[in-house]
Amino acid sequence: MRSARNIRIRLCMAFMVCWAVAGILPPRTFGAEGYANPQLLIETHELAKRLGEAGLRLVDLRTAEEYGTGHIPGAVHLGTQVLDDLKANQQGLPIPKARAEELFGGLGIGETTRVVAYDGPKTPYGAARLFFVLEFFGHDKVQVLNGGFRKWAQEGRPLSTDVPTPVKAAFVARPRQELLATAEQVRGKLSDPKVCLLDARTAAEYAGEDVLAERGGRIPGAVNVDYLSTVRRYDHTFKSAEELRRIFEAVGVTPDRETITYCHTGARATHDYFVLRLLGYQKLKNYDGSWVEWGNSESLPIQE
Amino acid sequence: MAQYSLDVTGEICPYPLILTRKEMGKLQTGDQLAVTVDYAKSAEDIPRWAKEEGHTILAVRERGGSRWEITLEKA
Repeated sequence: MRSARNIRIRLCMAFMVCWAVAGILPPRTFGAEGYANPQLLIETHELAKRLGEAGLRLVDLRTAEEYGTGHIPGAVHLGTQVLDDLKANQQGLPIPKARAEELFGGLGIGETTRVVAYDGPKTPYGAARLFFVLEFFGHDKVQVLNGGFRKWAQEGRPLSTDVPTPVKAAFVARPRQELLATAEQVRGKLSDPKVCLLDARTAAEYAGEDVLAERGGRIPGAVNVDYLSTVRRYDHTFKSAEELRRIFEAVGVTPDRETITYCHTGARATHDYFVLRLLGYQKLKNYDGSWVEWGNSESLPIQE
Repeated sequence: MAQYSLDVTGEICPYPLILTRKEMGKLQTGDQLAVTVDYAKSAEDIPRWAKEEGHTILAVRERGGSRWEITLEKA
Protein backbone atom coordinates (compact mmCIF):
# COMPACT_ATOMS: atom_id res chain seq x y z
CA MET A 1 0.00 0.00 0.00
CA ARG A 2 2.75 2.38 1.11
CA SER A 3 4.82 1.31 -1.91
CA ALA A 4 1.95 2.13 -4.31
CA ARG A 5 1.58 5.55 -2.67
CA ASN A 6 5.33 6.23 -3.01
CA ILE A 7 5.21 5.33 -6.68
CA ARG A 8 2.29 7.74 -7.20
CA ILE A 9 4.19 10.54 -5.41
CA ARG A 10 7.34 9.86 -7.47
CA LEU A 11 5.36 9.80 -10.70
CA CYS A 12 3.71 13.07 -9.74
CA MET A 13 7.09 14.68 -9.01
CA ALA A 14 8.56 13.36 -12.27
CA PHE A 15 5.59 14.80 -14.17
CA MET A 16 6.08 18.21 -12.55
CA VAL A 17 9.77 18.23 -13.48
CA CYS A 18 8.96 17.29 -17.11
CA TRP A 19 6.26 19.98 -17.20
CA ALA A 20 8.69 22.62 -16.05
CA VAL A 21 11.50 21.49 -18.35
CA ALA A 22 9.11 21.42 -21.33
CA GLY A 23 8.63 25.14 -20.85
CA ILE A 24 4.99 25.08 -19.79
CA LEU A 25 5.81 27.20 -16.76
CA PRO A 26 6.43 30.92 -17.40
CA PRO A 27 9.95 31.44 -18.81
CA ARG A 28 11.21 33.83 -16.13
CA THR A 29 11.22 30.86 -13.76
CA PHE A 30 14.37 29.79 -15.62
CA GLY A 31 16.12 33.11 -15.98
CA ALA A 32 16.90 35.37 -18.93
CA GLU A 33 15.93 34.44 -22.46
CA GLY A 34 19.38 35.01 -23.92
CA TYR A 35 18.50 37.27 -26.86
CA ALA A 36 21.32 39.20 -28.55
CA ASN A 37 19.04 42.26 -28.81
CA PRO A 38 16.76 42.13 -25.74
CA GLN A 39 16.21 45.90 -26.00
CA LEU A 40 13.86 45.25 -28.93
CA LEU A 41 11.31 43.80 -26.52
CA ILE A 42 9.50 45.29 -23.57
CA GLU A 43 7.78 43.17 -20.94
CA THR A 44 4.24 43.95 -19.76
CA HIS A 45 5.37 44.80 -16.20
CA GLU A 46 7.96 47.25 -17.56
CA LEU A 47 5.40 48.95 -19.82
CA ALA A 48 2.96 49.22 -16.90
CA LYS A 49 5.54 51.36 -15.08
CA ARG A 50 6.14 53.58 -18.12
CA LEU A 51 2.55 54.37 -19.10
CA GLY A 52 2.06 58.12 -19.53
CA GLU A 53 5.80 58.75 -19.86
CA ALA A 54 6.70 61.77 -22.08
CA GLY A 55 8.14 60.78 -25.44
CA LEU A 56 6.53 57.35 -25.45
CA ARG A 57 4.07 56.48 -28.23
CA LEU A 58 2.12 53.31 -27.69
CA VAL A 59 0.62 51.84 -30.90
CA ASP A 60 -2.17 49.25 -31.01
CA LEU A 61 -1.99 47.13 -34.18
CA ARG A 62 -5.16 45.12 -33.58
CA THR A 63 -8.37 45.65 -35.55
CA ALA A 64 -10.26 48.94 -35.08
CA GLU A 65 -13.12 46.98 -33.52
CA GLU A 66 -10.84 45.37 -30.92
CA TYR A 67 -9.22 48.73 -30.16
CA GLY A 68 -12.67 50.29 -29.64
CA THR A 69 -13.66 47.76 -27.00
CA GLY A 70 -10.61 48.49 -24.84
CA HIS A 71 -6.89 49.09 -25.27
CA ILE A 72 -3.81 49.81 -23.21
CA PRO A 73 -4.22 53.34 -21.78
CA GLY A 74 -2.68 55.99 -24.02
CA ALA A 75 -2.42 53.77 -27.11
CA VAL A 76 -3.30 55.06 -30.57
CA HIS A 77 -4.70 52.71 -33.19
CA LEU A 78 -3.01 51.80 -36.46
CA GLY A 79 -4.49 49.24 -38.84
CA THR A 80 -1.81 46.85 -40.12
CA GLN A 81 -3.28 47.08 -43.64
CA VAL A 82 -1.94 50.64 -44.06
CA LEU A 83 1.63 49.40 -43.53
CA ASP A 84 1.81 47.67 -46.90
CA ASP A 85 1.43 48.73 -50.53
CA LEU A 86 2.07 46.42 -53.49
CA LYS A 87 2.99 49.20 -55.92
CA ALA A 88 5.48 50.63 -53.43
CA ASN A 89 6.86 47.10 -52.84
CA GLN A 90 7.71 46.86 -56.53
CA GLN A 91 9.79 50.01 -56.13
CA GLY A 92 11.61 48.62 -53.11
CA LEU A 93 9.53 50.31 -50.39
CA PRO A 94 7.01 48.91 -47.88
CA ILE A 95 4.81 52.00 -48.36
CA PRO A 96 5.52 55.27 -50.21
CA LYS A 97 7.97 57.56 -48.39
CA ALA A 98 5.57 60.52 -48.31
CA ARG A 99 2.85 58.27 -46.91
CA ALA A 100 5.21 57.09 -44.15
CA GLU A 101 5.99 60.69 -43.16
CA GLU A 102 2.31 61.64 -43.09
CA LEU A 103 1.25 58.49 -41.24
CA PHE A 104 3.93 58.37 -38.55
CA GLY A 105 4.08 62.16 -38.13
CA GLY A 106 0.31 62.12 -37.64
CA LEU A 107 0.71 59.56 -34.85
CA GLY A 108 3.12 61.93 -33.10
CA ILE A 109 6.23 59.90 -33.92
CA GLY A 110 9.24 62.22 -34.27
CA GLU A 111 13.00 61.78 -34.19
CA THR A 112 13.21 61.11 -30.44
CA THR A 113 9.89 59.31 -29.88
CA ARG A 114 10.14 55.86 -28.34
CA VAL A 115 7.54 53.59 -29.92
CA VAL A 116 6.04 50.54 -28.24
CA ALA A 117 4.00 48.37 -30.61
CA TYR A 118 1.57 45.65 -29.62
CA ASP A 119 -0.87 43.37 -31.40
CA GLY A 120 -3.38 40.64 -30.52
CA PRO A 121 -4.50 37.16 -31.54
CA LYS A 122 -6.32 38.32 -34.73
CA THR A 123 -3.28 40.14 -36.15
CA PRO A 124 -0.34 38.51 -34.32
CA TYR A 125 2.23 39.95 -36.74
CA GLY A 126 1.09 43.58 -36.51
CA ALA A 127 3.72 44.77 -34.02
CA ALA A 128 6.55 43.16 -36.00
CA ARG A 129 5.22 44.75 -39.19
CA LEU A 130 5.33 48.21 -37.60
CA PHE A 131 8.81 47.46 -36.25
CA PHE A 132 9.98 46.57 -39.78
CA VAL A 133 8.39 49.57 -41.51
CA LEU A 134 9.79 52.00 -38.92
CA GLU A 135 13.22 50.35 -39.08
CA PHE A 136 13.09 50.57 -42.88
CA PHE A 137 12.41 54.29 -42.68
CA GLY A 138 15.27 54.83 -40.23
CA HIS A 139 13.45 54.99 -36.88
CA ASP A 140 15.26 52.69 -34.47
CA LYS A 141 13.55 53.53 -31.17
CA VAL A 142 10.96 50.78 -31.38
CA GLN A 143 10.07 48.00 -28.99
CA VAL A 144 7.57 45.17 -29.33
CA LEU A 145 5.44 44.30 -26.31
CA ASN A 146 6.27 40.70 -25.43
CA GLY A 147 2.99 38.74 -25.41
CA GLY A 148 1.07 41.72 -26.79
CA PHE A 149 -2.44 42.64 -25.74
CA ARG A 150 -3.27 39.01 -24.92
CA LYS A 151 -0.72 38.86 -22.09
CA TRP A 152 -1.53 42.37 -20.86
CA ALA A 153 -5.22 41.47 -20.59
CA GLN A 154 -4.51 38.00 -19.11
CA GLU A 155 -2.61 39.74 -16.30
CA GLY A 156 -5.61 41.94 -15.52
CA ARG A 157 -3.76 45.17 -16.29
CA PRO A 158 -5.68 48.43 -16.87
CA LEU A 159 -7.59 49.08 -20.08
CA SER A 160 -9.14 52.21 -21.52
CA THR A 161 -11.57 53.24 -24.26
CA ASP A 162 -10.27 56.83 -24.37
CA VAL A 163 -8.86 57.73 -27.78
CA PRO A 164 -5.82 60.01 -27.50
CA THR A 165 -5.30 62.85 -29.99
CA PRO A 166 -1.58 62.84 -30.79
CA VAL A 167 0.28 66.09 -31.36
CA LYS A 168 1.70 65.96 -34.89
CA ALA A 169 5.44 65.44 -35.12
CA ALA A 170 7.97 65.76 -37.91
CA PHE A 171 8.79 62.24 -39.09
CA VAL A 172 11.65 62.28 -41.57
CA ALA A 173 11.72 59.04 -43.56
CA ARG A 174 15.23 57.82 -44.39
CA PRO A 175 14.66 54.67 -46.44
CA ARG A 176 17.10 51.83 -45.82
CA GLN A 177 16.49 50.07 -49.10
CA GLU A 178 18.97 47.34 -48.24
CA LEU A 179 16.28 45.95 -45.86
CA LEU A 180 13.77 45.19 -48.59
CA ALA A 181 14.05 42.86 -51.56
CA THR A 182 12.10 43.08 -54.80
CA ALA A 183 11.09 40.06 -56.91
CA GLU A 184 13.93 40.73 -59.36
CA GLN A 185 16.47 40.89 -56.54
CA VAL A 186 15.15 37.60 -55.11
CA ARG A 187 15.30 35.97 -58.54
CA GLY A 188 18.89 37.12 -58.91
CA LYS A 189 19.88 35.33 -55.69
CA LEU A 190 18.13 31.99 -56.21
CA SER A 191 21.32 30.05 -56.79
CA ASP A 192 23.48 31.96 -54.31
CA PRO A 193 24.51 29.57 -51.48
CA LYS A 194 25.19 32.53 -49.18
CA VAL A 195 21.51 33.53 -49.36
CA CYS A 196 18.70 31.82 -47.54
CA LEU A 197 15.04 32.29 -48.46
CA LEU A 198 12.83 31.94 -45.41
CA ASP A 199 9.11 31.25 -45.91
CA ALA A 200 7.03 32.29 -42.86
CA ARG A 201 3.73 30.78 -44.09
CA THR A 202 2.07 27.61 -42.86
CA ALA A 203 3.54 24.24 -43.80
CA ALA A 204 0.52 23.62 -46.07
CA GLU A 205 1.04 26.88 -47.98
CA TYR A 206 4.77 26.15 -48.26
CA ALA A 207 4.09 22.64 -49.58
CA GLY A 208 1.61 23.93 -52.15
CA GLU A 209 -1.29 22.06 -50.53
CA ASP A 210 -3.05 25.27 -49.51
CA VAL A 211 -3.08 27.38 -52.65
CA LEU A 212 -3.85 31.07 -52.16
CA ALA A 213 -2.63 32.40 -55.50
CA GLU A 214 -2.74 31.35 -59.13
CA ARG A 215 0.06 28.91 -58.32
CA GLY A 216 0.83 27.02 -55.13
CA GLY A 217 4.23 26.13 -53.75
CA ARG A 218 7.27 28.12 -52.74
CA ILE A 219 10.17 30.10 -54.09
CA PRO A 220 12.80 27.53 -55.23
CA GLY A 221 15.14 26.57 -52.40
CA ALA A 222 13.14 28.34 -49.66
CA VAL A 223 12.96 26.84 -46.18
CA ASN A 224 9.95 27.11 -43.89
CA VAL A 225 9.52 28.46 -40.34
CA ASP A 226 5.84 29.20 -39.73
CA TYR A 227 5.89 32.52 -37.88
CA LEU A 228 3.63 31.18 -35.13
CA SER A 229 6.19 28.50 -34.24
CA THR A 230 8.40 31.23 -32.73
CA VAL A 231 6.01 32.14 -29.90
CA ARG A 232 4.66 30.22 -26.94
CA ARG A 233 1.07 29.11 -27.29
CA TYR A 234 -0.10 30.01 -23.80
CA ASP A 235 0.73 33.73 -23.82
CA HIS A 236 2.30 34.47 -27.22
CA THR A 237 5.62 35.54 -25.71
CA PHE A 238 8.70 34.81 -27.80
CA LYS A 239 10.47 31.51 -27.21
CA SER A 240 13.92 31.62 -25.66
CA ALA A 241 16.96 32.41 -27.80
CA GLU A 242 18.12 28.82 -27.47
CA GLU A 243 14.82 27.41 -28.71
CA LEU A 244 14.64 29.94 -31.55
CA ARG A 245 18.21 29.31 -32.70
CA ARG A 246 17.46 25.60 -32.76
CA ILE A 247 14.36 26.19 -34.93
CA PHE A 248 16.14 28.41 -37.46
CA GLU A 249 19.46 26.59 -37.58
CA ALA A 250 17.66 23.27 -38.15
CA VAL A 251 16.54 24.57 -41.56
CA GLY A 252 19.83 26.27 -42.39
CA VAL A 253 19.00 29.84 -41.39
CA THR A 254 22.30 30.86 -39.85
CA PRO A 255 23.74 34.34 -39.08
CA ASP A 256 26.53 34.03 -41.66
CA ARG A 257 24.05 33.82 -44.56
CA GLU A 258 21.89 36.64 -45.87
CA THR A 259 18.26 35.81 -45.07
CA ILE A 260 15.32 37.03 -47.14
CA THR A 261 11.97 36.54 -45.41
CA TYR A 262 8.66 36.27 -47.26
CA CYS A 263 5.11 34.97 -46.77
CA HIS A 264 1.83 35.54 -48.62
CA THR A 265 1.71 39.34 -48.52
CA GLY A 266 4.86 40.20 -46.56
CA ALA A 267 3.32 40.79 -43.12
CA ARG A 268 3.84 37.40 -41.40
CA ALA A 269 7.35 37.46 -42.85
CA THR A 270 8.20 40.54 -40.81
CA HIS A 271 7.50 38.50 -37.69
CA ASP A 272 10.29 36.05 -38.63
CA TYR A 273 12.40 39.09 -39.57
CA PHE A 274 11.84 40.56 -36.09
CA VAL A 275 12.70 37.27 -34.37
CA LEU A 276 15.98 37.06 -36.31
CA ARG A 277 16.76 40.68 -35.30
CA LEU A 278 16.09 39.67 -31.70
CA LEU A 279 18.63 36.86 -32.15
CA GLY A 280 21.20 39.30 -33.54
CA TYR A 281 21.12 38.33 -37.22
CA GLN A 282 22.38 41.27 -39.28
CA LYS A 283 22.03 40.25 -42.91
CA LEU A 284 18.28 40.49 -43.28
CA LYS A 285 15.81 41.61 -45.92
CA ASN A 286 12.06 41.25 -46.27
CA TYR A 287 10.54 40.43 -49.65
CA ASP A 288 7.37 42.46 -49.29
CA GLY A 289 5.87 41.44 -52.65
CA SER A 290 5.85 37.84 -51.34
CA TRP A 291 3.61 35.07 -52.69
CA VAL A 292 0.86 37.46 -53.85
CA GLU A 293 3.40 38.72 -56.36
CA TRP A 294 5.58 35.62 -56.90
CA GLY A 295 2.78 33.03 -57.06
CA ASN A 296 0.78 35.17 -59.44
CA SER A 297 3.66 35.89 -61.84
CA GLU A 298 4.00 33.13 -64.43
CA SER A 299 7.49 34.32 -65.35
CA LEU A 300 8.89 33.57 -61.87
CA PRO A 301 10.02 29.99 -61.06
CA ILE A 302 8.35 27.99 -58.30
CA GLN A 303 9.00 24.76 -56.46
CA GLU A 304 5.98 22.52 -55.75
CA MET B 1 -29.79 32.74 -56.10
CA ALA B 2 -29.06 34.36 -52.75
CA GLN B 3 -26.88 37.35 -51.91
CA TYR B 4 -24.51 37.41 -48.97
CA SER B 5 -21.93 39.82 -47.65
CA LEU B 6 -18.66 39.43 -45.78
CA ASP B 7 -16.70 42.17 -44.05
CA VAL B 8 -13.00 41.35 -43.65
CA THR B 9 -11.76 44.88 -42.94
CA GLY B 10 -8.92 45.00 -40.47
CA GLU B 11 -7.70 41.54 -41.53
CA ILE B 12 -4.51 40.99 -43.53
CA CYS B 13 -2.00 38.31 -44.64
CA PRO B 14 -3.76 36.02 -45.72
CA TYR B 15 -6.98 36.02 -43.71
CA PRO B 16 -9.25 38.06 -46.06
CA LEU B 17 -8.71 35.37 -48.70
CA ILE B 18 -9.03 32.47 -46.27
CA LEU B 19 -12.27 33.86 -44.83
CA THR B 20 -13.63 34.51 -48.35
CA ARG B 21 -12.78 30.97 -49.40
CA LYS B 22 -14.51 29.57 -46.31
CA GLU B 23 -17.64 31.65 -46.94
CA MET B 24 -17.75 30.70 -50.64
CA GLY B 25 -17.56 27.06 -49.59
CA LYS B 26 -20.90 27.41 -47.81
CA LEU B 27 -22.75 28.88 -50.84
CA GLN B 28 -24.73 27.20 -53.61
CA THR B 29 -23.96 27.61 -57.33
CA GLY B 30 -25.20 31.02 -58.50
CA ASP B 31 -25.15 32.59 -55.03
CA GLN B 32 -23.35 35.91 -54.75
CA LEU B 33 -20.96 37.15 -52.10
CA ALA B 34 -19.95 40.81 -51.64
CA VAL B 35 -16.65 40.99 -49.76
CA THR B 36 -15.51 44.27 -48.21
CA VAL B 37 -11.74 44.59 -47.73
CA ASP B 38 -9.45 47.43 -46.73
CA TYR B 39 -6.17 45.74 -47.60
CA ALA B 40 -5.00 46.54 -51.13
CA LYS B 41 -3.25 43.20 -51.62
CA SER B 42 -6.50 41.38 -50.83
CA ALA B 43 -8.30 43.48 -53.44
CA GLU B 44 -5.78 41.95 -55.85
CA ASP B 45 -5.53 38.38 -54.64
CA ILE B 46 -9.21 37.60 -53.93
CA PRO B 47 -10.29 38.18 -57.58
CA ARG B 48 -7.24 36.20 -58.82
CA TRP B 49 -8.10 33.29 -56.55
CA ALA B 50 -11.79 33.45 -57.56
CA LYS B 51 -10.86 33.37 -61.25
CA GLU B 52 -8.58 30.38 -60.66
CA GLU B 53 -11.43 28.55 -58.91
CA GLY B 54 -13.82 29.27 -61.78
CA HIS B 55 -16.07 31.70 -59.89
CA THR B 56 -17.37 34.79 -61.69
CA ILE B 57 -16.05 38.18 -60.62
CA LEU B 58 -19.08 40.42 -60.97
CA ALA B 59 -17.42 43.62 -59.75
CA VAL B 60 -14.48 45.12 -57.89
CA ARG B 61 -15.52 48.57 -56.71
CA GLU B 62 -13.49 51.13 -54.77
CA ARG B 63 -15.60 52.34 -51.89
CA GLY B 64 -13.37 55.21 -50.74
CA GLY B 65 -11.32 55.36 -47.56
CA SER B 66 -9.11 52.58 -48.98
CA ARG B 67 -12.00 50.11 -49.07
CA TRP B 68 -12.98 47.78 -51.87
CA GLU B 69 -16.10 45.69 -52.44
CA ILE B 70 -15.54 42.52 -54.45
CA THR B 71 -18.66 40.76 -55.68
CA LEU B 72 -18.29 37.11 -56.62
CA GLU B 73 -20.71 34.56 -58.02
CA LYS B 74 -20.16 30.95 -57.04
CA ALA B 75 -19.50 28.53 -59.91
